[in-house]
Amino acid sequence: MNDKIYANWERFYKEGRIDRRTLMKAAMVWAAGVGAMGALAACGDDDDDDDTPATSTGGGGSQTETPAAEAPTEASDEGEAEATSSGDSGSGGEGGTLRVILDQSDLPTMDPHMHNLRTGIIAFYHIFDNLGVRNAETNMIEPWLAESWENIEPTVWELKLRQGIKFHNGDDFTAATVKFNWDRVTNPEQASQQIGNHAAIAGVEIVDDYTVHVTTKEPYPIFTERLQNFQMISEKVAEANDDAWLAENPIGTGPYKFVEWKKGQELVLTRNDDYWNPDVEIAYKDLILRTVPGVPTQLAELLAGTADIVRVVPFDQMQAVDNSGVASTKTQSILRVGFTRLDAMGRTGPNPFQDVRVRHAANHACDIQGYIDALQPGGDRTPALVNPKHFGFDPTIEPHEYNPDLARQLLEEAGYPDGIDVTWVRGPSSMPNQDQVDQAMQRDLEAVGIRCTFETLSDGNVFTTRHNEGQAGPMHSYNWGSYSVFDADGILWDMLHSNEIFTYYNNAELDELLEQGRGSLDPEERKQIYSKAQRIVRDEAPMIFMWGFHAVWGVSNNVEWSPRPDEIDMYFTARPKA
Amino acid sequence: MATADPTIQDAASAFSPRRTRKKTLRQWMKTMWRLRMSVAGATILAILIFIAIFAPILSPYSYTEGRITDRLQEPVWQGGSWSHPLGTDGIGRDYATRLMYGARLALSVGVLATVISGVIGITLGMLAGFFGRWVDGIISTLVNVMMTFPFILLALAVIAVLGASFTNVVLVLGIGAWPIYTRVVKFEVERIKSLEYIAAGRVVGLGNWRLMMRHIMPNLFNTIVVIATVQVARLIISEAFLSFLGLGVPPPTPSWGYMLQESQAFMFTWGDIWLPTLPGLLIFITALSINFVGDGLRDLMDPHQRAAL
Amino acid sequence: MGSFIANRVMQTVVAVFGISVIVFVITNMIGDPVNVLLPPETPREQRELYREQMGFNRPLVVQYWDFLSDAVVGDFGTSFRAERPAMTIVWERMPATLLLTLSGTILATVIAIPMGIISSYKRYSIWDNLSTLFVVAGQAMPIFWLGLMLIIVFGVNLKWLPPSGYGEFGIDRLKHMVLPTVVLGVFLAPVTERLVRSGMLDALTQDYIRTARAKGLRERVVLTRHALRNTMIPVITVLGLQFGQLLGGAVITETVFAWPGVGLLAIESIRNADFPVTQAAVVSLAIIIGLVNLGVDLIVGVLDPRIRR
Repeated sequence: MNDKIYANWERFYKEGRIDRRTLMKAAMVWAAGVGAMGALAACGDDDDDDDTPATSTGGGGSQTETPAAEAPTEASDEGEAEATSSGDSGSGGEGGTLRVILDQSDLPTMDPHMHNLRTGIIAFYHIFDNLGVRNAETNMIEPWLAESWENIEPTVWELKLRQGIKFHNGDDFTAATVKFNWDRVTNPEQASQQIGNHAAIAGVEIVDDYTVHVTTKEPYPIFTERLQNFQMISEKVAEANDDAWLAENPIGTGPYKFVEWKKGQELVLTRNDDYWNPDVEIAYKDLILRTVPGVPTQLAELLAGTADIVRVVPFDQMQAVDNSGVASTKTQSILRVGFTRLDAMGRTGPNPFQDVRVRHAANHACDIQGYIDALQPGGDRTPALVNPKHFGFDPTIEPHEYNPDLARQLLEEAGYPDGIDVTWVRGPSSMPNQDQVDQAMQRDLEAVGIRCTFETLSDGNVFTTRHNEGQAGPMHSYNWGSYSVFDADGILWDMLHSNEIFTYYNNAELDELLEQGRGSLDPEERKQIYSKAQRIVRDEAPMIFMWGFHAVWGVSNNVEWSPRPDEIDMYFTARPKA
Repeated sequence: MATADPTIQDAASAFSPRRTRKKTLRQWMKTMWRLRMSVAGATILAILIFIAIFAPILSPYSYTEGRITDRLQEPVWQGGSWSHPLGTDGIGRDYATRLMYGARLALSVGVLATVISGVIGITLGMLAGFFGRWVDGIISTLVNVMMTFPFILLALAVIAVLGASFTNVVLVLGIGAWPIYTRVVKFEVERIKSLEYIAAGRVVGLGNWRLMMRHIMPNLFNTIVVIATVQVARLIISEAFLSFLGLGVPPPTPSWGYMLQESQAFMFTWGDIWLPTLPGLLIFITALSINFVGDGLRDLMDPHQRAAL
Repeated sequence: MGSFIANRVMQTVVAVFGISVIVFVITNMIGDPVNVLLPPETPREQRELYREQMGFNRPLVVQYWDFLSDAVVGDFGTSFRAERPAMTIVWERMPATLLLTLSGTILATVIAIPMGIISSYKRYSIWDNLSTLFVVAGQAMPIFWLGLMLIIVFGVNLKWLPPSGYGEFGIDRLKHMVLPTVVLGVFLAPVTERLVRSGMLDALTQDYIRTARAKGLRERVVLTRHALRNTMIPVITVLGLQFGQLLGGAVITETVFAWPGVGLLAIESIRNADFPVTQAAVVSLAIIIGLVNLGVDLIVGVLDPRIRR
């Protein structure tokens, strides 16, 4: 589907209806998909990246109807029979219960538009559906509630919706539903935390019962990204009830139906036996998403056999889990990159890291590979911030070697023979084993004379605000998921372009290269541009380069399930182990 | 105490519980045996204080040095080498060294916070008990408020604002713990105030300050000491809990509470269990010893109990 | 008697009021509500506009007045995180906390009183020392550590009890209650036992006991009817005072055992900078503690004629 869409963008450009910059953005998205396929094929290192066939609807090639939708009535009958029979074959009765520990704190609401949490996205992926879903192998967005989409005008997308889909209460899913949902999220009075995601959407027009036209304010190449993280609620239900009711009563079209929300404890769901998608075999009859504060307690539940899936297993407990005979760990390399940023432009104030020699000293002082080997379940080195998974990663760029003597020498040259004293700001982080890594780094830095004092902020909001307002210097820990865009631009632009609020570095030459990279059509040319950019980044060292994370889940030995590189867990793909 | 009128002095000492009786060695031995738990506690405490003070000499390592390749070495009883008798932690630091410096932190935080809370609490208690009326009213209200407020939430909130550091932790603990002194001291002061020798003192013309310092205060001494010893133990545990929540003294300074939090997850493997057990055990032993010493002190100082010794 | 009651009620009201001030000030110091409510990418001008719209730029005193006038009728505003009123969220979780603290208190009392009596009666015997050891151990042990150990032993290794959670109403809930109650009971028992013990020791040496014995009353009667009754006053007082401590212990217990109570909610809300919920939770807890203290004082006031003034 991307090829056809991209062809449209080319046509718009030729007709003069969009400018070059927009075409480049489209090219980037297209290249990201292509690149991801290549990258994923290349780095087939870690186990368990494959997604179960059920979620990918037959490959992203065709733009029109996918096979599953062709015979809706037959397929749904088949699907129903299949769902119930596979349910019966599960262990422990008619399908059994899957118990997942979702998070340490409870979800704030059952309204999928009124939150901004990853765990919320995961939970609502089970009760509701999205227009499109990312295929974990190809990284393309594929049809889900929408059957197809086409970019008919530079600022207009036509979506054709699948027919015959019903909400859990019987309401029909139609174009009116889609319009209502988009209107709701983009309405400033609704005050949705997700309004920023849809900032580019101007409006939605109903063409017929199963076709809508979505208008964007400007040509918007990454429109399809919006489809995979936007759950649809029933417009009839929403109109008949107020927000307070919606916050407690989720009615969606998804693989599971809402049963009960025991606040502070768990969310109880039961299988939707009328689920419209025949490719999805929902093995477990009941799904319970629990809230358990404290990782040791979560582990205890996993090891006691009272929980089937746990989303985080601390590094040092991986062996205990694997040896327990009750559960096993599943490691998944993800796109997210961690690093320790140095305030190279003095955004927070004058500091020693404004001297490039000091920055190199900091990089040479740290035994990055050592940390990966001893303290991580795995990690992909990012010598110039770019993850090997990103399109445009240059494998020839050599990472900083671990050389404390060189570090000391550089500090002396820079005029700091007695070393320097700096504050290191840390916020809550998803890096596995962050605390031990930080302390090991602190020790190595001190050994060459860079003495760091930790300032740990336990509140994510406080940290983010300080960071974005430029008050997190001279040194802070950070990580970046690139918004799941598997392209070098996805990390380099936001982290290092001088116009971005996230950057603590500016370099006009780098800015130009990044703009060129966004502006080019040719993948080979882009690769070269990004190589040059990475060269500059490495030579300027505006951060201590670390690695792309490998995250670890814990899964009961009675359950067959794998996590995804985009970190959106789909528990409806789990099945009991035979 | 020479210049005061001898009559007052005699009267004072006749009622003062501090009057001592001479004891023979044999009687002391007997007392020590009866108070054997306290003696044991005092001995252990002395050892801990010794370790805390002399840690740099007792250990060849600093509490941060180590190589990550040396991480999680076993202690000697699990087959490890004597170079790290209690093993190493997650990034290769010698565990025994960190525990020793942890003693330093625990004791210093405990003592300092107790001193701060004691000074505040006793002063306020004295003022409230001595002057009564509206002074008492304000102070008692303050005490009520402080005692009604769940301490942990207060500590959490304050440290979230001020940031975690040694000073802030001591301050928060000190400020959270003063009310109990005030309550007790106030009652004691009121009780003593009504005794005749104080009234006699006034008649003779002794000023307020003198009355408070010279005559009332010494009688509080016993009560205060007993409360203080228990408080030190309490505060050590509170600091451990704050560290456990990540709000205590920041790493890499070793705090037993922080070491406990760092090693929580190791509780699942028998082979690693020494990691969370040792800091927990030390917190426990320290608090226990202090409690026993406090018990013994109370028994020694209270004339009713002392009669039974 | 009437003025005594009025006086105590007044004190309670003032205490709760004082706490509302403290919690309001502290939450506003922790973070900027605008930053919590708006997504991080919001540009500065929009933030300032929002701040004005919501009234966050008014002087703190004015904001407090608004807060207070709403709070008095139970309106603590809407949670920043969820769509629901903060007070509703708090009251949903209150039964869990009350259940836990009540059962913890009962367990502690059931342990502490007999132990205290035996201990006081057979002073310095093996009984006394053992009970001292056991009971003080409970106080000295970090309860988060104890909690985790119990979970591992009984939940993971032996699989006798569920590791954490609230459970379904009925037998299942009782099973889930066992471990957290034990932890809380162990937390609370020591001080109560100490008090019973010292109260009994005091009472036993009093004259009226000697008189009772002289009268030829049986030991059991002497113990229970005379000594114990007088001991109950300080015990009840301290149980009441301990309630504040108990809630603190409940917070830890709730965290370790995933018990969905108000303590856990308060900690989460501080972490999430969800100020309305923090304020609602703290003030609710304060009211409960205040009421308990008030109740205790009233009971004691009835029992002990000396206190009524």
